[in-house]
This record gives sequence, C-alpha cells and structure tokens, in this order.
Amino acid sequence: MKIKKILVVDDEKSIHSYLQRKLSKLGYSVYIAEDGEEALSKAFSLLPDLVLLDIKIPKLNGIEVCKRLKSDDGTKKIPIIMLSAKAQSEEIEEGLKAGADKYLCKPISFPDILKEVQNYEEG
Amino acid sequence: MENNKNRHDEIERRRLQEYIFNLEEKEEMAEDLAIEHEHLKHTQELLNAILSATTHGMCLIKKDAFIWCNKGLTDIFGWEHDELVGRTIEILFPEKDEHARINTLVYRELSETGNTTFDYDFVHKNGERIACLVTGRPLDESDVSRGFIFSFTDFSKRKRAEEALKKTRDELEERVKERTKELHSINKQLNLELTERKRAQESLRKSEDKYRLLYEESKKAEEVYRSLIHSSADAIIIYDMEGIPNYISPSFTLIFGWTMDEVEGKPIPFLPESEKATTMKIINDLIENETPYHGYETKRFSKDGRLLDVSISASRYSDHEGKPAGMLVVIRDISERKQLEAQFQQAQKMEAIATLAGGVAHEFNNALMGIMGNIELLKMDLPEDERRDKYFEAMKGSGHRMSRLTDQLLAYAQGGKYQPKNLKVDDFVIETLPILQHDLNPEVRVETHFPKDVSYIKADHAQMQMVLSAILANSNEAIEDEGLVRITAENKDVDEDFTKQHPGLKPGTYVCLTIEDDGKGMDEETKGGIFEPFFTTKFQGRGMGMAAVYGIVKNHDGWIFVDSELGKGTTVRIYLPAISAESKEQGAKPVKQPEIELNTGEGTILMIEDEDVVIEVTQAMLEMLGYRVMSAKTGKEAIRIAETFDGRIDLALLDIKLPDMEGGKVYPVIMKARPNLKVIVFSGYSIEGPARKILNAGAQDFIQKPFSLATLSEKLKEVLEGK
Repeated sequence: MKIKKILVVDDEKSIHSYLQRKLSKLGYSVYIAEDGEEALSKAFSLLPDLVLLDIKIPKLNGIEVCKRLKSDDGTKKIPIIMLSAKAQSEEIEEGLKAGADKYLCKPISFPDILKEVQNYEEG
Repeated sequence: MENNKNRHDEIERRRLQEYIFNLEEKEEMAEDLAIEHEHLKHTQELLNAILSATTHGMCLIKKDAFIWCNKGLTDIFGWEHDELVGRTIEILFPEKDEHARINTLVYRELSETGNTTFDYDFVHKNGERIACLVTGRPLDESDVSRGFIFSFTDFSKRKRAEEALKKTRDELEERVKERTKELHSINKQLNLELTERKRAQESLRKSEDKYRLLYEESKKAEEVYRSLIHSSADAIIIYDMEGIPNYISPSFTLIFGWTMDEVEGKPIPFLPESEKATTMKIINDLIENETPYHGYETKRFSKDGRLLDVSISASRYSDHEGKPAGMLVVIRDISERKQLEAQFQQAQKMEAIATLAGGVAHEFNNALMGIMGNIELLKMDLPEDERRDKYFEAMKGSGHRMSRLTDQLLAYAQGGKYQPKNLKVDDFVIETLPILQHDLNPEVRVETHFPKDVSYIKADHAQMQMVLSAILANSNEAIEDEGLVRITAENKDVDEDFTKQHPGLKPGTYVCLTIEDDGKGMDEETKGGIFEPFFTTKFQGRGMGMAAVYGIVKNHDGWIFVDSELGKGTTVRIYLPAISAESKEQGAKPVKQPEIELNTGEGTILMIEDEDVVIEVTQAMLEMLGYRVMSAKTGKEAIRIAETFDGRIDLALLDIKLPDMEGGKVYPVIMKARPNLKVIVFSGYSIEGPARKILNAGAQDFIQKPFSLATLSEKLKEVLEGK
C-alpha cells in the first residue's frame, strides 16, 4: 500500500514538530494531534494511511485511542505504530493487546522510525 | 519502589528522546551548511571563471586605487594583475589633469544617480590609446566607502573596424556615385533605345493591324470566293498538278452526277476517248506555259453515261510562294445551247433553202406556164383524134406532176398558204384517207382514233393533204411487210416551259395530229436530215415530201416533231393552232374544185408581164377565150398605158416581179389612173408575200402560175362578172 497521509499523535511539541519536518521533507503529508480526542476526531475525518501514536497523552490515552480506532470499521485497518517511553513488557503487551500493529520504545532515532513506516509501505 | 523506578525510567527515556532528536537536527544543519558552503564555493569558481573568461575589464576601485581586477582588464591595458592592484587608476589616463577631470564627472554622476556610463580613450601600457565604454556602480549601495565596481568594454577594435567600414562605405559611395553617373548615362542611352523600340513596336503594331485587316479582308474575300464557287451555276473543279481533284463544286455534282467522295484521290472518269488528245494538249500547255483557256468547247461524259456538250475554261494557279499548285477548271454545260444552236442553224439552212426553192419554183412555174399553156392551145388547134388526146394527156400528166413539185417547193418555201379555211382535223383525215390509201401498200393498215371535241384549225386544205400524203408515204416506206399506221388527234395546251424547248412555238391551244407507225424507224442521221429538201433514203425519189411538210406546218404557225428509233417505229406529231369556237363556222365550206368547161368572155385585158414565154401563151389563151389583149413588159409601160390609153380596160393581169419596179408599186398608180380597174395578181411565187399585199390593197384575185386555160377562164369570169 502507498502511504501518503500520516497522523502523528504526541503532546510534546519538540517531538511532533521534528517528526513533521523530517517526514514532510520525504514527501509525506503529516497531520498533528496533541491529545486523544483530537487524535480520534482527525483519524475519523482524515482517514490517514498510518498513525504514529504516543500513549501518555492528555484527555484520552493512546491505549484508548488505539482500541477505539481498531474497533471502528472505517479505521480498523489503519496501521498504528505506538511510540512510547513505557518500556515494561506488560506495558508493551497492553499496547499490543489494545490493537497496535507495532510497539516502539523511546528513545528511538528517526531513521529507525522511518524504517518501520517504510515496512508498511512495502507490505 | 518499582513504580518509582519505572517512572524514572520513563522520564529518562523522554529526555533522551528529545536529546536524540535535537542531536539529529544539529547534524542535519551541519550537513546543510556543508552543502551550502560547497555551493558557495562552486558559485565563486563560476564567477571567477566568468570574470576571467569575459573580455570586459572588471575592477573594484576604492579610494581611486585598484583593489581587484580581472583578466579582461589586464588584457585590455597590458598591465599584470599585480602591477595594477594597489596603484591608482591614474595609470590608465594619458595626463594627470584628464584623470582629475573624469574623476570629478564620474563620481558626481555616481553620487547623483547611483551609476555611471561614459566612453573615453584610455592609455595602454604601451602608450596606445584604447577606446572604452565604461559603466560603474558602487559595490554596496548602502556603503559607498566599500568602493566601486567598474566595467571596461574595449571598442577600439570596433571603432577601428567602424572607421575602416566608414572608409569603405565612403569609397563605396564614391564608386556608387561614379556608377550612378555611368548608369545615368546608360539609362539615357537606354531611354533613347526604349523610345526607338517603342516607335518600332508602334510601327510593328500598326503593321500588325494592317496585316490583321488584310487577313480579315482576305478571309472575307475567301468567304466571298468560296460562296461564289459554291453557288456558281457552272461546275468548278480545283485540280492538283497531277490532275486529281481537290475540290468540286455542288454544280459539278448537279451537272455530272459525281460527288467529291466518289472522285477523291483519282482522275474524274469523264473524258471521252475522242477528246483525249486535244484535252491533254491543252492541259500540258496550261501546266507548262501557264496558257489559260477560255470557252474551249468539247464533250464530257456524265456519271450516268450521257455525253454532254461543255465549254471549259481553265487556268493554272500558284501557291503563296508562287509555285504552280494546280488548275482551276470551270465547266459550263452547253448541251442545251448546242441543241438550240443546232436548231437555229437548221432553221437558217431551211430558210436559205426555202429562198432558193422559192426562186426555183418561180422560174420553173413561168417555164411550165409556157409548156402547159401552149399544150392546151396546141390541143385546141389540132383536129380531134384519139392519138392526139393520148399524147396530150401524157404531156399534161407530166406537166401536172411538175406543177405538184413546184407546189411542194413553194409550200416548203413557206409561201403556199393559198386558201386557209377552217378545218376540223378529224373530218379532214377521214375525208382524205380514201384518196391517199390508193398509194399505200395493201399490207399497211391505217387506224384512226379521234375524240369528239377536237378543235378546228385554220389551214389550207390542199396543203394539209400534201402533209398527210407525205407522212403516210414515209410510213409506207418504213413498213417493209405488213404494219399499222395509227392516226389520232387531240387538243393540247402549250405552256411557256414547252415553248422554251421548242423555239418558234407560241403558248396557246393547239390541235396535235399524231401519225405513228410500227415500221423500221430511223437512225439519228436520217432523223436529222428528214426536213431537208432533196433529202431521201429512197433509191429513187423526189425528196421534197418532208421538207414541204415542214414548210407547210411552219407556215401554219405550227410545229412538227419526229420521234423515231431504229426498230421501234416513228411517231410524227404536228401541232397546229386551234381556233376559237366562234370563228370556226366562218368560211368552213368545202373546197371548190376548178371546173373543166371554159368560160369565154369579152373585154380588154392589160397584161403586165415581162417573161416572153408567159406573155405569148397567156395572150394566146386570153384571145382564145375572146378577150382583147394589151401587154406591158415593164411597170412604167403599164402605167403609161393606164394613164394614156384612150379606151376601156376591163382588167389587168399584174405580175409581181417586173424589171423596173415591183408589182406592188405599180398597182396604186394604175388604180389612181383607172379607179374601176379590176386586177388579178398572177405570179410564179406563192400568194404569201408581195402578192398578199396587193390583194390587201384592193386587187380582186390571185392566179398561181402555171395555170390552166380552165383556171384562167374561171377566174376572169368570176372577177369580171363580180361573182
């Protein structure tokens, strides 16, 4: 599948603006959501090709956002890559249980993130 | 405790994440800077290359001194880069003052407008002047203290080139001027030639017009000729030099029958063998000597084999180069004219013969008068005797035969129309046939057929008998064994067309008497001579028959035609003028036969006659009849007697031909002297002619010589007794 639209969900400005600048440079259309509700509303309305999702975000955490998207017919097929500082195995398991397609632990370099994104692209 | 540791780990991870991203960003910026530096370096190299490559001189001047200059500037002025940098620009000016003057102007302009442009002759390192276009502007507009960039464009080469160009142009102009002058003169010459040519063209055009006019005229003329040739009644043939026809006119086809298609490419087969030699001689003469022929009369065949009389005119014609091209031949069909000519000649011949015959008959009659009269007188003197009568009858028979011959001669001479009476042709034939049939061969049968309404004619009974007799005699001759003669008569209206073909015949109503036989017929030659006196085919014969017939018919204003062909019999048609119904009864009395008994009488008779033979015999006859006779041998003598004789004269016998004057002249004179005188004209000529005139003038009667005693006694008695 061809990935064009990417929704980046993170409340940390230095993180999401860096990702946005780097991904935009590579040709992706990058949309930003800084909390769980914004993430859901943008995901339902924009129908992105991929979501980079942080767990510890205001209003509705990433686990909930993931569950909601995966339980909706219109959004359940959108790949969700979780990007979180929570690195305990049960925390990872919880994320995957919630429906995430991939769970990446911070700190991670941009080239590694890009590699994962491109994995979906090729698949 | 565990939770705290986890939270700490989480916070640590977050901090590290921000750090990593920050680091990545700085690395990226360093990479970007390096790229930009590389780019700048590249740009600088490019600029240096451009500045070195350009032939424009570039320099940065600060406080009037060279800070930097490019290769272009050192090339223009001959100074090395290092020789210039650090030195003042004065080095490029010829004089110190000039440097100051230009500097003032340039920097004033730079301060006022921000840039400057001027040209000036700078000085090369070797002292040569270099013309340059200079532009200048501050290096940094916001800070003029950083110096000014000047650009020098060396146009001394261009200037030299321009000067050379100008020189060349001037030379060219000079040459153009010269050339123009030459051209002007040539032009003048050309104009002259052009005028001359125009004049020539004009005259050519005029001549063309003339020739066109001539052409049109000749075309018109050709059309006229063509239509003339086309409409000519004469046949026109245009031959080539070999005698092959190139053209025949419509009249040719009309006259001869051949069309152009039939004679194209070959000689016309109309030349009879008999005409060949003469014709070839004429043609050779025409071709070789160009001798034209006019009205050459000859004969030619028509397509259907008729032999036509033609008159040929021929001339040779030439083509436009004057070379003989062929012959123009005009042929006139003169068959009809020839026929008329032949008829005319025939008529003239007949006329001449008639005159001769008349003369002969006159003499003959006078002589016969002597014989016949004296025979009668002699018979009276001798005593009656059987032998005497036998001799006398034989002599009288011969005399009558001779007398009939002179009658025929006179009839032929058209002078014998003694007593024209109204006659019905059918009755006449029916009455006459029994008398004539005695002379015919018993094997010859005569049939008559007459319609009821055959008109009357005015004719002499005796002459008509002669006509019928002569024609029947010929038919009798023509029928060798047994045969048939058919006589018919019918009324015919003769119109103009018919008279044109038969000159002498006038339009009107005629009675046509036709006598046809089925005898052996005649050939052309016999037919042609049939009306000539003394012409005969018989071994023995008088040959006057048909000539007399001709004379009689003509004398009766009629016309005679003979159709005959060998083996096919002969048809004679005699046209005699019919007379109208009113006049036909008049005088239609039977012809009176002379009586045999003699009527004696008394009285004085003046005989005016010059022939002694006639005088003697007539005087004897008159005295025998009891008359007293005076005679005069000339007109003058007769007149003298009439005027001076002291006694009665009862009657004058007047001859027409007297030695000193005509009877016609004598008559009025003697009548003046003796108005009661009775006159009988007697003549060896026929009644027609001078005799008729005297009768018309008042004379009582006419006696044809020779006359018998009986005729004389009868006439005298009639006249003297006024019967």
